[in-house]
Amino acid sequence: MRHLYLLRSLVWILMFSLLITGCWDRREIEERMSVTSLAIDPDKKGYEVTAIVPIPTKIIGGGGGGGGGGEGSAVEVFSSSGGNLGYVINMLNEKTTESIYLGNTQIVLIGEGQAKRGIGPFIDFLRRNPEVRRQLWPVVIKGKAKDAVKVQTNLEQVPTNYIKDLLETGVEGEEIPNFYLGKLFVELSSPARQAPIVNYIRAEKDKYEWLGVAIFKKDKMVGTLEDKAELSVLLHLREQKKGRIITTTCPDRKEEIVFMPHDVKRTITVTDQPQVRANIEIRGEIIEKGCALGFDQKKAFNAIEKQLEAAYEKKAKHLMDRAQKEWKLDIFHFGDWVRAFRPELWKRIDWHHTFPSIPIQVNYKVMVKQIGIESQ
Amino acid sequence: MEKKPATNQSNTLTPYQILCTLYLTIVGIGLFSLPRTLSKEVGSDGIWVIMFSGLIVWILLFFITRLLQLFPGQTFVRFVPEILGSSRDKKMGKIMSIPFFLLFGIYYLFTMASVIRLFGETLAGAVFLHTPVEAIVIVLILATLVAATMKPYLLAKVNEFVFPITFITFILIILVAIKYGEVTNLLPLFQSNPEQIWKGMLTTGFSFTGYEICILFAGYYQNTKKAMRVHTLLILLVTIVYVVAFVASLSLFGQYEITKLQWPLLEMVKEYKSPLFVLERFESGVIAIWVTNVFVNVANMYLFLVQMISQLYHSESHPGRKWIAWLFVPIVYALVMLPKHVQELNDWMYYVGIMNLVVVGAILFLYVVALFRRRKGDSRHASSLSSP
Repeated sequence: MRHLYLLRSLVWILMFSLLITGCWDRREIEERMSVTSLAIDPDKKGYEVTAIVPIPTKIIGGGGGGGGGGEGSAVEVFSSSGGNLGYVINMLNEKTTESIYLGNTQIVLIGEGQAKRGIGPFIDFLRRNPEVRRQLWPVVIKGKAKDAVKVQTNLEQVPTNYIKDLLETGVEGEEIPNFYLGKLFVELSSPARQAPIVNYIRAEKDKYEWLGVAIFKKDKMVGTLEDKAELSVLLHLREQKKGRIITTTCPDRKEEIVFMPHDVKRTITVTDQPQVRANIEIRGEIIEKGCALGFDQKKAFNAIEKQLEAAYEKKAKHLMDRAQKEWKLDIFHFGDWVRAFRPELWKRIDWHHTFPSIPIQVNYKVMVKQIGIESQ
Repeated sequence: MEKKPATNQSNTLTPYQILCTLYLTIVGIGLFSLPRTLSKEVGSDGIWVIMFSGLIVWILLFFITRLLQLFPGQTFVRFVPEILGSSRDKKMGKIMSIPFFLLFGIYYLFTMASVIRLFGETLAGAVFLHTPVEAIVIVLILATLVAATMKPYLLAKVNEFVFPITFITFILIILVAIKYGEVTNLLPLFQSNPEQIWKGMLTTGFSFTGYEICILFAGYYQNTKKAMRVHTLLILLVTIVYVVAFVASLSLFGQYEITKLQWPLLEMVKEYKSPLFVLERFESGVIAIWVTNVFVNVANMYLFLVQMISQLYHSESHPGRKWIAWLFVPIVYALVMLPKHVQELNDWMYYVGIMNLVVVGAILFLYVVALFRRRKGDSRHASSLSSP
């Protein structure tokens, strides 16, 4: 009985201790100015930061009834500028009623201008601040980020949610690279990587569009990759994700077929010369076929598979050329494979320096597994 | 003369309780930062460095257990004078053992202080941004004070209660690693030079410290003969836990990112996002678990100090225990607030680790002396020494 009493008193003490230590940090939810997205643009002074804060009353009132749509925005926009991100965010407090809280921030929109100037200087603030989530989405905006956050979307009251859902749906379908902030941190830390691919988004009048990825060399944006088939190749090689659909001409070269990948497997080998060989195995489904080729014939499968392989390899070849000649950047993480599997080679050569001249061979093997509910 | 507690079955520790108590004394504050400190020294070689350290610790613990088996039912307060003294002059043994008791006492005092401080710094830095470290520290000291006034077998029950809860963290960590981990981050292996490996071994060795507390708890083991099996299982479990923690966080972050993170395991839980759960922010749950873990961890060390002093003054069941425990509050608090910042604290941790080597060395020295002098405790008359 006695130890039961002791245990009970112990539980009490633990509970009290939680209360006591919490005192200083107790902040009610309405005492926080929850920023859902931050937009960062270049400015004469350094940065121009725009913070989006949802207005709770507007959001509750909206949705179904009341005809709230169109009657003013559901978000409040604060902006300020200065030399450092931490400083500017602190400056925002001068305009807000409560202090800024970054714990609910979902998206950091980086204006194209700022991306080209370099994101390195403000990454430190995001790393250091314990409120900032590793799971938030860094996004590069075509044009000014400030204009993008002001978009009033019809589907979502808070534009942040629109971008977030857009990205998350794409990531779930393995069509958009899962490049969240934590990945960006890892990318910039590892000497073998140094090639972030940040999702590239354009704002329209009342919606957003995913354009592709912005290619970064270390912390500076060097270009964009918008060809969807080439993006699929990048996803295959870099993340072993299946990517988007691909279209190619029929073997008779008249009409087109559309192929939807279901499952992808990659093997990457680096030889001592060095030379990179990547084998990619894709299984998938034909979702549309324009030509009269009948699937009741076995050789039709082979012909279409060959055709698809050729299409993928052509795209891969083009992407390799861009990576090696235009950006001179190992966007595929081959360097990481060298570091992991060939440490002696990694020590011998400066990978990022030699990458543009390394022969890379990408082989595709496509297997058509399904043809939909058509028999032919 | 006091009653010997070991004869009463309900006042002893079952093998499972021994496992829980020693496990929670070893695994505590260092777990969250182990992947960083180890990766800084040896990179991805940490996987086998942990295993190797585990093996060495097991060997050390093997000999310590042998020593304990010579004196079943006795804590070190009883058997150290017996080893060192002669059968004619009991006083002599007591005087000879004073330096040992001082060493053990100071070691646990400093370990406790640095653990409490690091705990305060972690919470103040990661969760309670506006709370002063002093507040967190005082609350922890007072809470552990209550636990430390308990009898060892009661505290073992608290350990038994907390032990399974700490594994929830590992479920989350493993899930994250499976979802986001990359194999390339775990490689390459065997790239470190001997100097780095030596440093890595020291780092991991330090995170294994705590097992030597068995010199106290052995006095309350139900069956000392089975101790070897429990201790082996213990080291195996701790090694597995460390390897899992290291491999999981390394697979997610890679060896470069991991060295930049103050608490890799905590950051790792932050990345967890599950469609299965409505809740987000698992790190608050993990921190809550971790707080209980550290609480028990510190309480065990606190108990060591209180038990040592009270046994020395034959007041094991005396209400004086409480006053002894209170006596430590200002001392511990002063020590806790002594380091100026986290960097100085890290130096402390290093010296505490070195001190642990001295402590273990002293225990092994006692074992050699006991073997040499053919000392052996009789379990039936274990307490006879305390009386003339």
